[in-house]
Amino acid sequence: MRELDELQQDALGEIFNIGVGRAAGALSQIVHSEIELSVPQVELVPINQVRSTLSGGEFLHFSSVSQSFSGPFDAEAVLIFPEANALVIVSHMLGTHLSPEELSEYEQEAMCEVGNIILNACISVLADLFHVEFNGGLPKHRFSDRDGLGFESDYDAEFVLLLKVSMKINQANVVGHLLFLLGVQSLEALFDCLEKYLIEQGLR
Amino acid sequence: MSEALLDHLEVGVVLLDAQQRIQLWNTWLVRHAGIEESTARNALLSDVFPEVRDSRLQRAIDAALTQRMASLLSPGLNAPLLRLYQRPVDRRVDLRMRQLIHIVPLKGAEGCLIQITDVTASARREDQLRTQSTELRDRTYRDTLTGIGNRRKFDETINMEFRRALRGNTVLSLLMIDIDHFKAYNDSFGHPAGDVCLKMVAKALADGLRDSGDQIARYGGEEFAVVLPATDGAGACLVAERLRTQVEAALATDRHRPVTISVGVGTMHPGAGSTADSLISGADMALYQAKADGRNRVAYFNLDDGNLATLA
Repeated sequence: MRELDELQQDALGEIFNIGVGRAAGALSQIVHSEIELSVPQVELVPINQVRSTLSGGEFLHFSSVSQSFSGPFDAEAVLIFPEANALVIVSHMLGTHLSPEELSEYEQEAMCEVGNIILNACISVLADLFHVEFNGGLPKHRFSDRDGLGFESDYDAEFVLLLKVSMKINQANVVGHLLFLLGVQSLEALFDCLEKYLIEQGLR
Repeated sequence: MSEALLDHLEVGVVLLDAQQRIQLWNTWLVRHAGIEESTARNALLSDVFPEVRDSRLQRAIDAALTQRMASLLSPGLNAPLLRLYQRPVDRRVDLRMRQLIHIVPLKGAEGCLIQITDVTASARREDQLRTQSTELRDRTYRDTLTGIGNRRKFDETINMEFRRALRGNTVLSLLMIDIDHFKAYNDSFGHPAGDVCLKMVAKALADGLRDSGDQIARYGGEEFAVVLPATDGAGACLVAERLRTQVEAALATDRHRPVTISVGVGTMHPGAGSTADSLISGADMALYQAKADGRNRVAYFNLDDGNLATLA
């Protein structure tokens, strides 16, 4: 199985931190208050290990926004938050207090937009720094329980680039994950892009 | 054929070329923007809709054209941007329709497609439901006379804070407060005067709380309760004494007669087997002690070591 070496891990960490930094700027403008985003951790895991890595035992319900990207490598990008954390985000963004039962289409669209902003920003930075172009699809939102995360069956992917995302919004700290689901070929293409980037940066 | 189809859609469809010039403008847009297709065609989107400049929609269009990224603008996070109106009369008062906007880059060609959906009806319903649910929640937990939390609110608060203290192994304190000689006050001056007195005491108490999560409720009749999370006996006594002097000062010039309160402080580290009721009983016992020692004073009961004392 391919693994990320230290240099690759650091480079991806930096790249995605630039991405979520841009997204934080855009989100802050929408809510007129400071939102901070960071990616403290990047790892590459086989798809069948994602569920155990994600859930950490304590969360049962998840809210996710997914978007597909195609280009030098194809990926399904998924931003996923434990449902309680997603509610914190939407409540702060919309300025209302909500329970999961009250979350309607209206809030799901808002969650879609938040995810769309974060995912687009990350892919744009990848495209800029790797000098490549992607096509991005529209975001889809869904709720699922832990058993229904279903990454293995829903997508034809074998590896997941798994990023921890930390969001700070009005004093509240919210943690979620950003996943890039990759097939074998796409993973190789990602490694190629990353190697070229490291050489260009004089790091290899 | 396809142009005719577009004109029957109940959504607005705009096609922009790479220079952001309008290549397609369907009948829905003619109707709701009040701009003819012949005027719109080949014009810049920002000339037809000047409000697009520097907006999030403009950035989304740029992202679609230069980076081939699709975007969505939801009605929840964006004020109605485009000058689109459900009815001509709405235009006069600039009552714009609520909009859900999708921006998608074209496949295999330069340019992007913008779709606008009118979500006014559902957004308005959402707003109403949200207002109603907020009001309902408010009414369910608020004491109608004094405006502070009611007994239901107190029951939920004390149980929640008790569990939190148990989980975090932290201390929890509770104040039980009673207005001195309130029955006599009511009997002498009448119930309307009693109600005014209750309101003034509630206000003086609420004003004396800390910002750090102290929660006040009307427990019943002339009794109030204050939950003090993560506050030890000494801290709780400070708060209690401040509340006592504040009520004394605020109601010293009551138009009927001076009004004072007695306060019982209960404090404990919730442990296995203990319940919120133990803390309530402890605070009640202290309140009884404060009354027995002459009223207008604070008494304290520590359930951890059984220490009961009245503050000088």
